Amino acid sequence: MATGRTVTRWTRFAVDDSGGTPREIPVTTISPVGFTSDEVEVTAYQDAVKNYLAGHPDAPIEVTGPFDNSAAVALAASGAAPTLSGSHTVLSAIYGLGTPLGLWVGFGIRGYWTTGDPAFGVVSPSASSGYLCTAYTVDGEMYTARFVPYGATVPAWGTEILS
Amino acid sequence: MATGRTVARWTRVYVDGYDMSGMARSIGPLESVYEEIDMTTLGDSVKNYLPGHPSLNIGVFNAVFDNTADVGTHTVLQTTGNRTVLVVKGIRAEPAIGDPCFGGEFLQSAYAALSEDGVFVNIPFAGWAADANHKQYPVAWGQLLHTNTLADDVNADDAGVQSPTAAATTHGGFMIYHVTAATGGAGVTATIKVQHSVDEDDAHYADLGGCTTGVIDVGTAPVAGVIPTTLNTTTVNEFLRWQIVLGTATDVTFVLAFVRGIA
Repeated sequence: MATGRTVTRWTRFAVDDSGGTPREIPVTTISPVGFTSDEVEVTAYQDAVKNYLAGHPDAPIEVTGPFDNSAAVALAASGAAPTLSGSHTVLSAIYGLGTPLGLWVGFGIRGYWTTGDPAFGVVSPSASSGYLCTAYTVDGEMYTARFVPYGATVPAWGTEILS
Repeated sequence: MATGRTVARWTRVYVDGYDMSGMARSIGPLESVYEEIDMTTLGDSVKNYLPGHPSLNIGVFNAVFDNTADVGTHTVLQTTGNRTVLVVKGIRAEPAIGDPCFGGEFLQSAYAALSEDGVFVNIPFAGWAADANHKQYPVAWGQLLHTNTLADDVNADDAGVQSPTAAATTHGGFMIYHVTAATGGAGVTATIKVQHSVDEDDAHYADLGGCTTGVIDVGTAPVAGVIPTTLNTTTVNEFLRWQIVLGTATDVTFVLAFVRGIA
């Protein structure tokens, strides 16, 4: 496991297909990854400066990439080159599903993602916790998909791969 | 059927039985978007959501302004109302059987001519038509069963289009057809339908319940429609194929797609 800085060519994105099997799909952009909280202003007249408290954190993820109907293939393991399933093959079957999905964004550190490298998402979804795909849109050659959290298991930063 | 990535030049657009691909400049975005219902409670660690109603739409159809009799964009699409639309995504080539399709009956909400050096038309759609006979289905992505080519005999091929899940589905679905031409003159007839099978054997294909045009006039003008299965719980076997029964028409040129229902 390397440490330090990296570039997007080592970023990976995977999500469960409709049968619960992890699949990696081609992505061109990924929205900011992590938590954002509502900024609740609690400033009183007498305060010297505006001040805030953090509300509920949110962790939506939006990805874009090339429209692709390739067959689904197994997710590449730690340390291996990515193996890509078709974006349309996976997303056309999971958008709107009420079953929570596993979702994973892996940041390889100047090489193929390896266990221990940073990752974000829900790597162990349950029947009541994970991510839901709420939008799948195709425009020309490209798709956009949006995922939002559902349930008690929160997305988190970690170092494991989706399983 | 090729697989992989593609570019927009291989997209083909059919509207109410007219092949608009030769006049289309773009269509989309092809949207399948669910409302996000915030279900967050005070005790939750993170905001969380459930999907509400989906919205399905083909977006905006941009094309060249064309007043050619019978087939031009201005001739065919200048009035608003329900349209049967099918967008076929060819994969690095002209569309082939099995290629992804997005279609249904949508509400054309406007028509505007734009002057930008050339004269173009901008045709927005509002989503699933309120009186569409398939609006109980929250899905518009399907598979192409027949390309825009001529058929002059029944289909006796073993080959079919396999379900994306490589298994039968049990949530019905709907067929989308566009008849672009026929030989025999005005009023000639034919029947177009979808057949399904558990395997790719000609002898095992049977008519998919509900998915038939019945005897229709294919010669007077282009014709199109959406026909759902008998029930939204109808079993659709693993393999699908097109089928035609020629009445008085000697051949028919048509496009056919099927959208499988989802839970």
